[in-house]
Parts: sequence; C-alpha cells; structure tokens
Amino acid sequence: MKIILAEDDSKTSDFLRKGLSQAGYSVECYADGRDALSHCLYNEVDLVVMDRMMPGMDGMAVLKALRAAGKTMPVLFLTSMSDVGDKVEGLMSGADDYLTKPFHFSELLARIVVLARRPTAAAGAALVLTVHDLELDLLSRTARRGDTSIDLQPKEFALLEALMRNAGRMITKTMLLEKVWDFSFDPQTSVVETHMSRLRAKIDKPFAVALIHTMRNVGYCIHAPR
Amino acid sequence: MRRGNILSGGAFTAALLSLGAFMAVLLALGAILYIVLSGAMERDVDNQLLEEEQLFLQIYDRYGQQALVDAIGQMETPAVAGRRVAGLFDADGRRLAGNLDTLPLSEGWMTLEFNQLLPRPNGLYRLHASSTTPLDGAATLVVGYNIRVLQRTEWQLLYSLLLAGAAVTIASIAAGYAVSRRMFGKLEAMSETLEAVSRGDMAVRIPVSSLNDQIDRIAQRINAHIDRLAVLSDITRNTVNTIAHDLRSPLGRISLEVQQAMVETTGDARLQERMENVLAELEGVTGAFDAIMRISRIRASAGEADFSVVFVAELLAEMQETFTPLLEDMGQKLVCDPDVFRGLAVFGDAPMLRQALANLVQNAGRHCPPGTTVTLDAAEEGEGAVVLRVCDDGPGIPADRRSDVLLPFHRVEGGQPASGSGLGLALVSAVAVRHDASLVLSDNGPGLAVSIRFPPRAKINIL
Repeated sequence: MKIILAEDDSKTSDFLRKGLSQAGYSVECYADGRDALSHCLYNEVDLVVMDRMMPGMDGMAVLKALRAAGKTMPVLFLTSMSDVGDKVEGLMSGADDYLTKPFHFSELLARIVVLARRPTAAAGAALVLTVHDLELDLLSRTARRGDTSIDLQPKEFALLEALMRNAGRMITKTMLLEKVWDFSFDPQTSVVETHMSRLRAKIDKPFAVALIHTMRNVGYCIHAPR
Repeated sequence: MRRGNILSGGAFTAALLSLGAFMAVLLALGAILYIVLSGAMERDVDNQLLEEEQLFLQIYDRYGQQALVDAIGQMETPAVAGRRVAGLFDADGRRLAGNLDTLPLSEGWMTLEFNQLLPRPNGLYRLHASSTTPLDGAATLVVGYNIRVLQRTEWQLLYSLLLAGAAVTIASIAAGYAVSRRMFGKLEAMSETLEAVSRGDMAVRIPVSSLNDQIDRIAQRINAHIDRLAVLSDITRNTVNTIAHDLRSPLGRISLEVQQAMVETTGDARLQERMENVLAELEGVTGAFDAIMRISRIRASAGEADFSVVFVAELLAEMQETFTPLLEDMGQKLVCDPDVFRGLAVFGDAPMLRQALANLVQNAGRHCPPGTTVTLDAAEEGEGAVVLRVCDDGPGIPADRRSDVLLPFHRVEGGQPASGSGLGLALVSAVAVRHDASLVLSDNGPGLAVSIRFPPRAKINIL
C-alpha cells in the first residue's frame, strides 16, 4: 500500500514517514506540491496525505488537478486552517478527509485506515450491517442482538452505524463527532464518550460478549470476539 | 419612508414656519393696500361729485333755474347717464329735473342702494345733496355716482390676494414636503448604513449625492470614518487570525515532538502520563484558537446566503438529544419539550444557531452544581419575534457582572480553572449579532436565564 505524503515541514514529514512506515505503509515524501502532483499522475498511488499550503502549488490546486485527470485515490488534507468553512471547502472540492494541525498520529492513522479500505459501492449500499450477533437494519432503523431487539435513540443509532460501517477499524472520537454531529457543530468530545457509554449499556452490558472496544486516547472499534 | 416622519422633518417644519411668516406679511400688506386703495378711489369719486355739483351750481348761478333743469335733463341721455344720477328738487321736495325720483332725507354725503331707478342701472350710489348758496333753500341739488364698480375692484384686489396666499401655501407645503422627503431619505440611508456597520458589515457606505448639501458633507465624513474603522477592524481581525493560524504550525510540531518522545519512551509510565498531560494542554490551546477563528469568521460573515428556515422544534430536539445524557451524568436535568414549538421557526444559519445553543447548554451544565434543572424553551413574543431561552436554577450571575461574561476570555470568578476557554458566550454573542438578535442575560429567580431574541423579520410563518 503506497502513500504519497506532500508536506513542506520537514519535521512533520519525517515523523509521519516513520510512523506510517512502522504501521506497514510504503511512504514517499514531497515538499513541493508540483512534484507530488507529477508523481501521483504517472505512478500507482493508493492514498495521498497533503498539506493545504505548500510551495510550488497549494494542496487545493493539486487536488483539483488530480481529480481533473481522473485520479480517484483518497486524499486527506492536513492543514493549519481549522475553520469549518475551510473544511467544508476542502471536502466540497473532492478531498476525502480533513485533519487540522496539531493532530495525534493515531488520529491520522485511524483516518488513513478507514480511507484506504473504503467500502465498495455495493457494501456502502448495504441495508443491514452485521457484527457477530449484532444486526443493524438501516431501513427500519432497528437494532437487535441475537433474539433481543434493542431500542436506540437516534444519536446512538448514528454512532453504532458509524462504528459498524467500519467494523474492525478504529474510529476516533473526532471522526464520530464529525459523522454523527456534522462538521459545523462542535460540542466537546465528552459528548461522544457520554453517548458511547449509553450505547454500550444497551449493546454490550446485557450480553456475555462485548463488541465495542475502547482504545485509550484514540477511539473506538467494533469487532467480533477474536 | 413613513409620511409622519417626513411631516415632522426639519425641512418641512422650516417650510411651514416661512409659510407662516409669508402669510402674515401678505395679510398685513393686503390690508394696507386695501385700505389705501379703496380710500383713494372713494376720495376720487367724492372729488368728482363735488366738481360736478360746482358746475351745476355755476349754471344755476349764471343762467338761472331753467338752465340747470335743462342741463340736468341732458344727463338722462344714455351717453351721459350710464353710471351717474342727478336730480333737482324744489323746496317742497318735488322733482324738477333728473333721473332721481325722490329727494334724499338728509343733506351732505350718503351712500344709498337704488333698485327702482328706471331706466338707469340699479346699484349702490354715492350721493351728495346740497341746498346751500346759490340755491339758498329754494331747491336741492343731488348728484351721485354708481360705486358698484369701485366695490368690484376692491373685491378683485381681495380675491387676488387670497389666490396668491393659497398658491404660496400649496407651493410651500409641496416644496417643504419634497425637501423634507429627500432629507429624510438621506438620513434613513445614513442610519441604515450605520446599523449595517454596527452589525459588522464594513463594506457599506452612505450614498452621497452630487448636491453636496450639509447632509452630504456629513455623509462624506462618516464614510471616511467607516473607511478608517474598516481598516482598523481588518487589521485586528487579520492579526487575531494570523496569530491563531501561525501558532498552529509550531504547536503542531510540539505535539509531534511529544508524540515522538512517547513512542521512544513507551516503558516509562510516569513520563507517558506527563506527556499525555502536555498533549491535553496543547489540545486546550488549539481549541481556544479554533473558537477565536470561529468567532472571527462569524463576525466577518455578512449577507443571508447561508440563512435558511430553521425549525425551532428540530433545533431544540437535537440539543435535547445530545445533551440530556451529558447533564444526567453530571446529576443535572435537561427539561425541554420540542413538540410544543412545532410551527415556530426562525430565519438564520442553522449550524451557527446549533453551536450557540450547544454553548449555552454546556455553560449551564458546567457552572451549575448537581441537582440543577436546565430548561430549554422558545416563545413567540410581540410582533412575531421568536425568543430562544436557556434557563437554569443554579447560582446565577450577579446583575452587575452579566455584561462582563459576554467578553472573550472572561471567566466567572470562582469558576473551575478548567472550565472552558472563556469564549463560549462570546461566540453566542457573535451569533446573536449576526442574526440581528439581542442576547439578554437575566435573573431566573434563582439562576440564570439567557435569551436570544430574534427580530420579527427573522420569524417565518408556517401554514
């Protein structure tokens, strides 16, 4: 799996290259937007992590050129621009995800994992999500575990859906905030914890096997017992 | 533009005042003119009559009574008669000559109305009767002149004066109204511009006409002030944004360094904990920067491109769902019945309104002890103004410190040190200003009530 990292700050770039390599990715770094673009245009690339402001060519222009050339690989923006408007603008112009500096490496890694294994169109259109004995029916908006049907509040349902769509992958609190409460609205992250504990009380507590797992300081993951 | 405003305008009042002065002068001049003119005309008539009388008396004196009777008889010819009367009567009052039937009752000047003066024209006559020398009581001579013509002239004078007065009145009122209306239009444009500036729209300017009147000159000066204000606020905003933005990169590097160090020292639990604390502090700083940028972005935004109909019930339902578990975990209660507010909506920026309400609810939860009830509700007040309210029965804020808490970075005294960035209410305030809404903190007896009152135009009628 090959990741192109376009970042002009050498410290950030070094750190990310090491971290991503350790996580098993093959990483190539570029400090100039144009170099990154030409590499992506003529080589097989699985994912692009790109700073929005770079010498040569800024991230937004690189992204537009990539999409114009028919390249569909996921692109994740790293940026110092934190504003909601900037995020929305980035996502509207074809970026797949957006992470503001400073960020936790684990956050970046979680997002890369999710982006790298995006559900295919067919999987994305699935109407029933299943993990172990937990079933989430997206059409009738109902959940059941084994023979027990579980009554979920709308936010709990949205949280569980976000987790189950990425079953086996880590979802960070920020990602959940974005998915369930949308970008433009920023309650504190304790909101996620509170709603997650309510969800677990319904999904896991009454049953022998827990499905939702917490990674301290990182996020949550739902998976069948291993 | 309301007509009442125009009619009470300075220009209109000035026009009315000058009209009043003009009418007074016109009245005085008219009166004088009337008196002088009619006096002069009456004197003319009298002199003419006396001359005529003298002529007749001379005839009598020189040629005797029969000559006078002949002379007066000639007056009955149409050419002479027209507007004049004359008569000679003997001592017993019998008519000797002339077109007068009867002798007047007295001598000297008199003014009489004749209506049986056939075939002479009837009318108002000025008469002079005399039986003095050379008649010496043997006869009485009466001469007269029809003064209807004089009266008509006088009436025409009065009529013209009245007409002039009416014309001037109408013209003054029209001119005053027009000028006042124009001035009012300019003043209104001025106040609209200043209001827009106070809302943060620095692009607006007062239109200046080519007339360059006093108002235009004031408008030019105000525009110059707005120019300077715009530059200053730009500098301030850019500085704040640049600080918030440029500090992110070094903060990002610090964060990465710490994370790197954590990777390299996985064995040392105490060190790991310390470094986690550093990262948590960094997150707090970043959060404050985000809040500053968000407030700055709200203040800089203008227009209603991002505005839409926001249903109060949906807004409150989302707040209730998100924050009920949070407050419950803190031993508090969130009371809200969104269904009551079906049919109520405001025109605004939905994400901004959600953020504002979220901040208010989170603030209430953070600053109130366990056992507190936080109430989220809405109401329609007055002429369709929608009010959103977040109330609690906690400790409240003393009246004299309520305005301070709206300032950025303000923290309530005695509040927990880690209780937010101090930017929550500043953001709510910016959102309120952005919606032309007023933000009011009041006593909830006990506790604090925070109301966002939207102007009536923001209210939408839902059928």
